[in-house]
Amino acid sequence: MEEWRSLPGPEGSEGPEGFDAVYVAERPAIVRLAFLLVRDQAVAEELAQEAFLRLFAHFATVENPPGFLRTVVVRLASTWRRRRTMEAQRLTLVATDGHRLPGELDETWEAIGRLRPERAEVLVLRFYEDLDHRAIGRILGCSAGTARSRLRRALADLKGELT
Amino acid sequence: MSADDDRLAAEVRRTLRSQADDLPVADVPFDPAAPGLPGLERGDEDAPGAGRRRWAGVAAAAAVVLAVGAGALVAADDDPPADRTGPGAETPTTAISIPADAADAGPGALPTPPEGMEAWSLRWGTTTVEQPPLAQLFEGRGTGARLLVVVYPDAVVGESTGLIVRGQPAVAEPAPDVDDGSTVLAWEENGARITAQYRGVSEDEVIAVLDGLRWRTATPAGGFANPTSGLLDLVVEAEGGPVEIRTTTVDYRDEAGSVAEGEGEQLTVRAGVPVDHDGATVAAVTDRYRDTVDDDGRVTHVEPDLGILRRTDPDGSWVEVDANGTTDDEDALGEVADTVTEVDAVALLTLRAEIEQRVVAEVPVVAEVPIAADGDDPAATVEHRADGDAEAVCLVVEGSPRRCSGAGVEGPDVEGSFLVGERWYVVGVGRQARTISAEPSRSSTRDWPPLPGLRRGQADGWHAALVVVPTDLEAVYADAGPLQRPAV
Repeated sequence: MEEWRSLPGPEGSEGPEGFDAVYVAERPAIVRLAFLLVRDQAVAEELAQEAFLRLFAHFATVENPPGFLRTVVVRLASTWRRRRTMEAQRLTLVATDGHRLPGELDETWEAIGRLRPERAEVLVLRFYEDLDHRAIGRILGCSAGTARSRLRRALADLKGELT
Repeated sequence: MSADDDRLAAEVRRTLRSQADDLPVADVPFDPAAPGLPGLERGDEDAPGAGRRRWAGVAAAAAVVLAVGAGALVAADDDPPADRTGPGAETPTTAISIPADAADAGPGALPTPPEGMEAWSLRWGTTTVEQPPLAQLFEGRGTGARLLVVVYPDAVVGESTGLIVRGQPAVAEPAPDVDDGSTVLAWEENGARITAQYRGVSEDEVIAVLDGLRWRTATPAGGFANPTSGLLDLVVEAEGGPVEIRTTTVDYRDEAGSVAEGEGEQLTVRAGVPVDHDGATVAAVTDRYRDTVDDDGRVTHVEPDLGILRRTDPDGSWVEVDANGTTDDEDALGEVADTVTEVDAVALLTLRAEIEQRVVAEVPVVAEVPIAADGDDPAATVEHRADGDAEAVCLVVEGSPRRCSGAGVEGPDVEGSFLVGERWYVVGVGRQARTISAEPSRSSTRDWPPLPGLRRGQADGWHAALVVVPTDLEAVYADAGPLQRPAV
């Protein structure tokens, strides 16, 4: 299991060309990670762009660009989701369109989508990014114990959704 | 983990990887001038290393120390800070004239910030919210049961899950964005889409209640009459349609820390007040479904993981206190929300001047970009200011006092919108050539047509764009999204 912060930076990342190398190497993975978090490709690409903008602005001082990008995109996704949720609540979008018949899409994917966002988020970090509790906690700003209990809760909820 | 858990974990892993692998990601060259996600307020999310701290209490009084003169408000600048740096350091005082129609710019709503925190950014204005035509909330007497009926003008519901509600095929789904076991039923009736979100009552019971309801008028927009079943009573309702909301947003940071994201204490307070609106708003009715209501009819919603507290009054005015995850102290957030009061335009302008003064004093100039005069438009200087992650832009139009944006974590692009005299100036500065346009665009190529009269300048690797917006335009578009013509 890897921790982003312990990953070496990409070769040549200390120079101006280094950013381009990181961009080319990491963009698909960052877009995909964002997509798993927000479930919307257009938004995912915008979030990835935002994360790279921030890396671009701070590239000289960022020790681990891949880790920086993932941390930023997870937090951007969280911000985007909560803004969207708060806005939706304020705009009274009690039920939106998108009613689908069960089984129309991947059942597990649909079930993950019905979880509370912070629980779906911890599943993505654990099972897509293969992060341990300590690394997840660092990203989410909580302790490893909290990350562990969130993960347990997320799996329990998911089990409920699937039965 | 049990064998079951292991199987579930493997299934989750397979699902996530499959979804990610199926996503086509095109090769797009990096464009450092391309915007990120419009509407995402930069700096709202924590940076790596952000921590939570317990706050000091709310200050006894707002520390506004500006001199207010007869008809004019001037940010006092008698004691220039010793550490002021940059070529713009000697530029004169930030000054704002208050026009006779200043009241048009207000009122707004401001809190008293916690002790030791100071404002770094202020935005206010009005926005029109499109509400669905009707919301009705039904509650059980002492049972905790709730039923929220919302009427939507469209009739798109989706395929039925086999339920029949009021004689119509209906869809039943878990309610989105809530964790209280709520379910939403949706069906079409008389050309409208009706949703019924409920909890604390069984599906059979709620369908029986719904089946027994009678429309007051020929169309669903008139709402249901109070049911006679006794299981649920109509407690509040709101007519929808467009409602104008006057909003105020102010960002605070602690005095000791920097304005960089994730450092120290942070607080964003947003307030919304419906304008010329009688009775509850649909949003207020919806909030009352979700959360507990106090004796005054006020609803409080807390998201401790995010450090957000939102309070909605029965008339639809609301306050949202967002600590950006730097605290989860509900009492502290509530204390700030309690202090929010309506203020007049002078108070808003006073705070804005205080913020501009703070930016000038504490955020050094890193680049000065000269903009040449063009016809009637005088020469100007665009200042890019930065202090760590915090960035701001200031505009000095020849013969006028300096104006500055608030300071926030803006990334490589910073924008400002200022009324100087009768002219509305919009300015952008960044590492790439900037465009300010009358047309919105989400294109990453940013090939927008620039506004006529857009002037550009360049210095020390920084590009600036400045435009005097034509008087017939009420909004323009820059990288961070739309900018509206300021009232003052």
